[in-house]
Amino acid sequence: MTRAGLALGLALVAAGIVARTPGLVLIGLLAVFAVSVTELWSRYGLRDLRYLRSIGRNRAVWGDEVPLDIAVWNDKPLPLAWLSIDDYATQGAVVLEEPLARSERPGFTILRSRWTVGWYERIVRHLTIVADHRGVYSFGPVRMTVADLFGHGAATQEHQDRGSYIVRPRSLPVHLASQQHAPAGYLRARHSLFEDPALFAGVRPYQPGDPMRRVHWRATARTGATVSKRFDPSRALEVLVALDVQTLPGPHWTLQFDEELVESLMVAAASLARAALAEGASCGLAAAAFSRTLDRFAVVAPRAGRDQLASITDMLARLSETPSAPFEHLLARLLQTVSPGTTVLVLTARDPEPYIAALARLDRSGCHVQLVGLGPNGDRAVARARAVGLAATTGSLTPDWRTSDALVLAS
Amino acid sequence: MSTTEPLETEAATDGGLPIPSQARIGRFWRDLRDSVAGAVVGEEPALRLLAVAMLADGHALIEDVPGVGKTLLARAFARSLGLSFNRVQGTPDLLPSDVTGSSILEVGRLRFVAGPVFANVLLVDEINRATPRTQSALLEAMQERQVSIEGETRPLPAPFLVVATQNPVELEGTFSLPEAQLDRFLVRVTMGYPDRDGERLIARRYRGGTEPLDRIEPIVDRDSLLALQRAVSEIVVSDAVEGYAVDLVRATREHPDLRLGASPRTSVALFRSSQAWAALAGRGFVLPDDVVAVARPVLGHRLLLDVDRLLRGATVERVLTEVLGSVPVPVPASER
Repeated sequence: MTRAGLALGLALVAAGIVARTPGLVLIGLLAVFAVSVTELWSRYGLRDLRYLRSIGRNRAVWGDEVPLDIAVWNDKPLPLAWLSIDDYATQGAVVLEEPLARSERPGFTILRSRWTVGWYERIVRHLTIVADHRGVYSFGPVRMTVADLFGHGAATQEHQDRGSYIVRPRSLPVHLASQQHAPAGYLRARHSLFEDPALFAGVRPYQPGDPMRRVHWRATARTGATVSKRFDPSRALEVLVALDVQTLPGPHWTLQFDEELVESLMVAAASLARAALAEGASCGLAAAAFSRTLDRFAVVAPRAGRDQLASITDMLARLSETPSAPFEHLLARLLQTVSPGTTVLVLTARDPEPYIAALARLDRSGCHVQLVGLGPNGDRAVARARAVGLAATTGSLTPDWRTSDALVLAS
Repeated sequence: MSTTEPLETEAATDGGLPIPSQARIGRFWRDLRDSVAGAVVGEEPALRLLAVAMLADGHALIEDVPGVGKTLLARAFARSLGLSFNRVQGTPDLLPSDVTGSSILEVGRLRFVAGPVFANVLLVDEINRATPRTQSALLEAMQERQVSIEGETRPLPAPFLVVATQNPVELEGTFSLPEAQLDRFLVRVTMGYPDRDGERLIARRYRGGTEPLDRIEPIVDRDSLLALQRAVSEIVVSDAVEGYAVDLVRATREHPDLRLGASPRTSVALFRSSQAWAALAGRGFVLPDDVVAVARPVLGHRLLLDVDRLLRGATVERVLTEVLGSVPVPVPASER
């Protein structure tokens, strides 16, 4: 096209000279000029042109705003009258100042920027990412297009320049309607339920109900009053939040879900984990949901420590809204892998009838199973669990998971 | 260098113990580096921090992924120093008495059997696999240089260095070290993967089936090492540099991303580590650069991030970068 245009222009110039027609010469010269201009930007427009993207931080909590700086740097003497940069972003990403355009690639939207950049000029735009959906988001690849002075697309180039960030669910304080509704495992850990008999901590006066083996006979003989042994709470206390992501009745593979309930479950799971870790327990997470890996089950092994909440909320951010397998399959796996004595907090927003037998089996195996029912079906879930002798409480995020300031557990 | 000849020392100056010059410390570092290099490839920064811990009379925590040579480095370091060395493997069933020792009944009398803690260098491998109770048993030993067993206090030999390792990846069945315990470690050392040439060299060394550790000979004896420690404690720290170290520590307490900043004990640790770092560089005085060089290994494990900031991507590394960037570095009057 370029060569043909150039040849045509030169031919017109030659014909104009031969025919002594200045108008034809002028048209020919204009054609040569236009073709040369296009060729110039086509060949050199993308040379020494850099696009830089800087995401302020790679982790955010739902509702946060994250700085996003994008910059172009034209490091050459050729100005760019028209530069278009398409930065592909994962669908669902939101940039406050710039609505993202639809993309021809499924699952992507486009952060489109158009610039006029002088020679050796560097331009920076300060934007803001709004973390309004839980998930893992990425930017990139980047497609850059330059046009010539007449606005014709001269050259296009694509770079695999990627950056990502994770939007974690909120984690709220857990409030109890009464101590009776405390999920075992973290709230009673400082009392007798999870004392470790290896951690002898002294004696205290005998209380009615203390078992005989708890009486410290030597100290009783020495002091003349009956005293019982006192132990420190177990340091090996483990809590596992088992998250049932299925929110609608029926088989797990229908790919239908109630988004509000799913997000409520995520916030509740993060909140329970945060409370357990704050109490010094080891806490983990298990869910029958996809987590961007080939594994059908998402598992974070129980562990105490300052970074564990980050691991759990990272996993919650990655979880799909729909289940990857029946929840009872996850419970069957937990039966084989969870240590006896672990408190399994089952978090659900539906009637647990399909897996109630598996829950009872897990409880009989030596784990302390506690069900937390959430949402409109929470009461039914609690009643179903109590009917088979399991401990259960309802959880509520009032008015909703976006604005609630606490997860309240009550009967 | 592979010689058992102790470092030459100069005339006695304090308490009858000879104090070597800074040149001797510089030579100690070169010998140590050459000696350990016979077994460990390309870990000079980590080794330098271990030397800092030893010279500043502190303890070191080596933290990195499996297989990078944490235990090998600790063993090579201990062997080069020619001190008594014991090793404890952290496991959930390790009891405090397995570390400190206990009395056994023998022919009608109780006889004390010293535990592995009674050594100059104690390697606690995978310390976070031991229970908190056993970890706590190390607290007194690390801080007080003594252990109390069955009502009797027994001093530990000098010098006494605990080198603990832990793996930050395999966390199931581990017990995170509490902040109080972490504070006892003067420095936290990370190693990282070797470069390509280094990895080839490692593979070549082990191809022959020989144990590289066997080639390491002690480069220093106990008395010389004690003298080196005394010499390091006399490295000059100007008021300006001292103020800089304190300001760095204080700045961590005001950083919004932190729930818990560094303790006053950290100021002492930073001060002593800077002295050791300067001494290893062959200097008799501390520069602000020495403080900066040891700031991350000394402060990193002592800072506790705020949970909400942690969830928003805050990292200790970034906090330290900001702290180091925000505190003005003292500049000599001639350069102002």
